[in-house]
Amino acid sequence: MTTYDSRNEEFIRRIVQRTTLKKPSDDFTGRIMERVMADSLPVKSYISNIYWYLIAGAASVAILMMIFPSWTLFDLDFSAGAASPEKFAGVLNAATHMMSGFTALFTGLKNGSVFLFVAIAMGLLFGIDQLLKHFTPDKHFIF
Amino acid sequence: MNRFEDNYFIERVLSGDVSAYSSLVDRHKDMAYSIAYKVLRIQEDAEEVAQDAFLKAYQNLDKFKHEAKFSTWLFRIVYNTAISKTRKKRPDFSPIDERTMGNLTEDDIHENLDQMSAEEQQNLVTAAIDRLPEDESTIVTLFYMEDNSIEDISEITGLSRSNVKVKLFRIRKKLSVELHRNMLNEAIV
Repeated sequence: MTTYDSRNEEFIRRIVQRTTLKKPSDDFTGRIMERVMADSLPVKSYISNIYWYLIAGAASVAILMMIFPSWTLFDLDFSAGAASPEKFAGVLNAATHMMSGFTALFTGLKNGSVFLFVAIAMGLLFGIDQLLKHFTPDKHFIF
Repeated sequence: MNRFEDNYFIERVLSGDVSAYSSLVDRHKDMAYSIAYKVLRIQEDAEEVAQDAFLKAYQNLDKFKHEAKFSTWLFRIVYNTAISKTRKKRPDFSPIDERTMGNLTEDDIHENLDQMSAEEQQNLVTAAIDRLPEDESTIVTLFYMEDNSIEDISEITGLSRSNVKVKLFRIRKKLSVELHRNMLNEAIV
């Protein structure tokens, strides 16, 4: 910026600041508040979407771990033989255990299965939360 | 405006104290209305747009991320709402001819301004700003009267930072021309 530009900048700033902002009508705030009061309250979601996506992702990983027991972070095994009807039946069996009561559930589960069910439950809640957000115009949703 | 105070009122609204929103409206209504007016040039339309924008902001308050200032976020809503409306009904304005800039000095303008009353000065400068195209008029108001940064103005108007800088440079020249022209007109009258 040249000296002239710099002086011009300062000059313009000074003259513009001599003006004042335009003012709306006196009852401007009141009329907005009338409309606001007639509207529903915006509710803050306690768990933001990003965390829900992480939970859903964790649930998906947990399901994959159940279906593909040989799967590890460094040794992926997605061959056709890795999945079997027996493993799916195992998942269903565990779900039946859960339905028949917590005691039976926790005694019958293998390593990591508790995490699986927690993750599935969270995933379901995420789905319900998203549906409520989408279909309830007043935005009163559970999360 | 203190962004921490804005955040305090936002939290109160989100906690269920809806009346706290009136504090946010009071804090920003003049600038919101001014932006709408710069774009639309009609008081009734500007007021309607500013009100609609405040309502939109309220309805989406839970989605406001505190990464930016509330005012920047709000003014962007105001600007976009006003632009949408003006696309339906574009006001006429006379473009300022930049070719007549050569024979001007800021000292001439400053000297003449100093001889005027405060009210005359204000009318002259306001008229000069109002003769600018809508986007430039908005940029002047945001930059010089609200002390928004180039980044904030870029965020509000959707223009790139370099574009905002170029526009500011041209605006300064145009305002000088317009002030000079208005002063000549005043002198003739």
